[in-house]
Amino acid sequence: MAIAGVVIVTQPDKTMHVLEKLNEMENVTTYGVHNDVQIIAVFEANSSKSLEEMSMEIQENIEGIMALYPAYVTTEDELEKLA
Amino acid sequence: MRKLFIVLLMLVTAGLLVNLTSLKNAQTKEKHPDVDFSVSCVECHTEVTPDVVKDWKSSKHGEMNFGCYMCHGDGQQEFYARPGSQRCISCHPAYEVDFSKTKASNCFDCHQGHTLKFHKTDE
Amino acid sequence: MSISRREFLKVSAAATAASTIGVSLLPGMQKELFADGLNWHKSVCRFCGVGCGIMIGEKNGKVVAVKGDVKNTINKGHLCVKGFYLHKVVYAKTRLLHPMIKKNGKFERVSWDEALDYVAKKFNQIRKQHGPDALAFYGSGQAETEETYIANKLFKGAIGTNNMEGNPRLCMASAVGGYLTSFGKDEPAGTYADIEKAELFLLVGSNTAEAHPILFERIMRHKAKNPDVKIIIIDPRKTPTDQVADLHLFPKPGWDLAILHAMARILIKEGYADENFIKQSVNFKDNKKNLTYEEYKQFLEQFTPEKAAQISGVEPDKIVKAARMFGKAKTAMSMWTMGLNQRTRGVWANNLVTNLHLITGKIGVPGSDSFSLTGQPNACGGVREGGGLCHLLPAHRSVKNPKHRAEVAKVWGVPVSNIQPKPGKHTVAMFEALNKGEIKGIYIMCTNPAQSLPNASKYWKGLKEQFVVVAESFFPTATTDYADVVLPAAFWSEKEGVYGCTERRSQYMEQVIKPQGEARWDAFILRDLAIKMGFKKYFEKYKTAEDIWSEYISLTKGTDMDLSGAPYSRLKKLRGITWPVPSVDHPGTYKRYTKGDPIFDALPAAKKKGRRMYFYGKPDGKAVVWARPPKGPEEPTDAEYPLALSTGRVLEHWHTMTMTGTVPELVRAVPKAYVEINPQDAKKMGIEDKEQVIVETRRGKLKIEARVIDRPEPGTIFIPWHWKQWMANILTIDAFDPGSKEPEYKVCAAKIKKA
Repeated sequence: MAIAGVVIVTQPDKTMHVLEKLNEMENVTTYGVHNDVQIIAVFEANSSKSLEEMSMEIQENIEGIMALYPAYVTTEDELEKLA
Repeated sequence: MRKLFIVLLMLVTAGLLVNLTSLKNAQTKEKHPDVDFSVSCVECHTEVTPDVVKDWKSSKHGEMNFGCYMCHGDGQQEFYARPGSQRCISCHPAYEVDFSKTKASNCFDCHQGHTLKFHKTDE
Repeated sequence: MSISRREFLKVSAAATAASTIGVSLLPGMQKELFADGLNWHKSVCRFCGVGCGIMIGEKNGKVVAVKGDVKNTINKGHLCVKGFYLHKVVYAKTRLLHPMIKKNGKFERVSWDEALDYVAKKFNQIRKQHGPDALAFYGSGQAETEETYIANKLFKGAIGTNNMEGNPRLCMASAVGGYLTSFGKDEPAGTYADIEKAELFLLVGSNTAEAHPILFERIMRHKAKNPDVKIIIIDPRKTPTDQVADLHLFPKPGWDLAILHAMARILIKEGYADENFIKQSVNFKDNKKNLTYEEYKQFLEQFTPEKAAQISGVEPDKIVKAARMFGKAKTAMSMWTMGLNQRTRGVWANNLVTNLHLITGKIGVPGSDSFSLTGQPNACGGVREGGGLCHLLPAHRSVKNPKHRAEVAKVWGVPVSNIQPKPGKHTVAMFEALNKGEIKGIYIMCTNPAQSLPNASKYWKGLKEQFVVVAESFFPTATTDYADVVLPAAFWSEKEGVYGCTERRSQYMEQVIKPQGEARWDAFILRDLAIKMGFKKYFEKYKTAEDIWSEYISLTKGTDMDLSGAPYSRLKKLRGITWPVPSVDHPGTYKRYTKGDPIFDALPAAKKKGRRMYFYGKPDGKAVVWARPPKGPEEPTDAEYPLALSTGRVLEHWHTMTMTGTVPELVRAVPKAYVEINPQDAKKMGIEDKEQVIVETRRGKLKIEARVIDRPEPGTIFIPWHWKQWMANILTIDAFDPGSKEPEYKVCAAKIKKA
């Protein structure tokens, strides 16, 4: 299981649209909008690799996203494998 | 290193909107160029990035010989081009900062990464 | 993963993301960013002798992180690069996970029962056929006190041989000899707390920055705050420690004794001596007889700065300057390590540093001490204090002393006749005896002598031919190559126990996780081996680590290193305590031999009258200033071997790299060994930087990369000794100090040519 905390920067007029799209997604939880253009969200996926893929997909498919900053990634399963 | 907190990029805050061009890096795991890894970090970087090595040497880390790998990883199995605050805290737990109470959002808002000096007062 | 756990992680992730844009998402969540749901456990660093406190971050039965222990008085939360990666070593691919017996030249996995039955049978056969002295134990300053204690009892108390040694013989035996002859009792009078009170540091034969980084950090911090603090270095090589030096004296390797005498001469001549202290607390001696103060002064007369310069190669004015700096400073702390200890006159070198403190009275007061730095985390605690050498018994006791033997035998519950009155074979003699076949079976615990012995290749013969049992956490090592049986030992964080560091501080370490594979705690491996050898009645009582520690501290009661006030129940709460600590309400001792030391305080008033220090290890309470001859190294340079070879350490690696070699970052930092050559010498010999060269001594040859650098002085070369594939110890000399039996790793004669 991998979890990422991200900041998504949107075009000012597309913020609500992006928020709606994100909320429709099963593996995404949003935690509010700040400064009208920054959405805080958490992505969940099976591995850090699928997290990356997910981030790419979201960025490519949702209109109005200018940037996506992962701020925190935890991968407990991978940690255990590593150990 | 704490695997738990792999911080890919944390330098957001004020510079956020200005920095939009460098976004792609944020999603891909960074890779150190494939080099001759039988040469130590410092030895090679003294040639390729002498200014960075000079800055580092002038710092407390340099004095203590706490090398590149401490913050940036070994370059092969782990590599962080721009390491985040969590890597600082592992060695400096006494400086655990509640960033909600400061204007800064991470260690490097105030400290230059290599000299470790304060950006504003020293520049 | 449970839902609540996942929820927690999600909130943490969101909070972190929020914090990066300066938003406090959830009040009170910020701390959690770094607390990160781990369970933190108090421990001690597994590397050098400084004794830094480490917090082990554990989660779901795995060690996943470490951080410096901010509550620990030694490191106050700081760690050096080695300690920072310690958790990675736990899961190294080279961990030894199962017992193995070598059958037809190949290691085969066996059960614990089979392995221990086999060892017990072989050891008993040897004992029966050749007597107890055909067996030996070789232990480690990295083993816990409890582990060494059980080994000591098995070999000295049950099997009945004093062939019980440990690698501290190779690193601090000369310091023991120095303290015993100067003060009458082993280990320093002061503690690290003196660092922040010292006005001057005299670092002799110590690359503190790389070998004891956290102490160096404390010195640096202290000097940064107090720019008047001065640092003098006496060392043949320029090292990273030089960054803070005010004065550096570069003696020819092994020729520094004359400098210390010359400094003493100047101190007395120029009025820096504390005449009152000398009268109260000091005797003078040479190798044969007692001297008067006047006779000592006459002895010193030969050591004019010019004469000392001629012997040592250091400019006379620098010697004078160093002496005056030492004299003028109100307080002074000397620190030394292998550069003084690993010498054929290591004990004398130790004495001569202590002389400077005794004649100036710079001892027994805050900020002044002659302070030996130790190389291993429990060399002081387990081996010096625990009595893990061939002439010692627990708690600074001696096998030669019938009273000591009786006291120990009583607590061990063994017949006193089991403990031989004659010291066993010291390390070099022990491996020599293996070569000769006089010792036929050896148990090696937590150390790697095939690589770490001086003149190492000479001793591979005995290891190859005799029955060798190696209890180790890592496999393979240079030594397991020669083993007949390997036993997997629990590693740091997988066992509880006590480490005693350089400053007389004993610290408890918690067991945090289960041992990897089938690894077991060394003390219990030894206990079960003892039982299988037929010593059940002596060993079955030890059920826990605490059983062993409690018995051990009962033996310290009433001695100079009283730990009876430091049971587990207390140590678990403390960040260690400095002995003597005679009762559970005693706060520990900062300064020995003076007010505040419970032993000094308990002395009759008549003895202490008019004296601020009483060295109770000596019959009249007076420490000894020694007039030792200025002898040079065993193998001075000559026309055939014109270079003095010294070996040593780098910050990023430790000893034979069985631990640091498993951490990718540390390997990257210093991937390979090299020989440092002064640019002048390199030019003369036509050697270029990074070229392959062959370093040769009378004992061996080593192909290695040249590093042309101005760290060594002209005429000297240096090799860091950590690597198995560039084994510096095939070059070093196995001549040893006749007093301490510590070999002269630091000086031998060598030559170099292009490969």
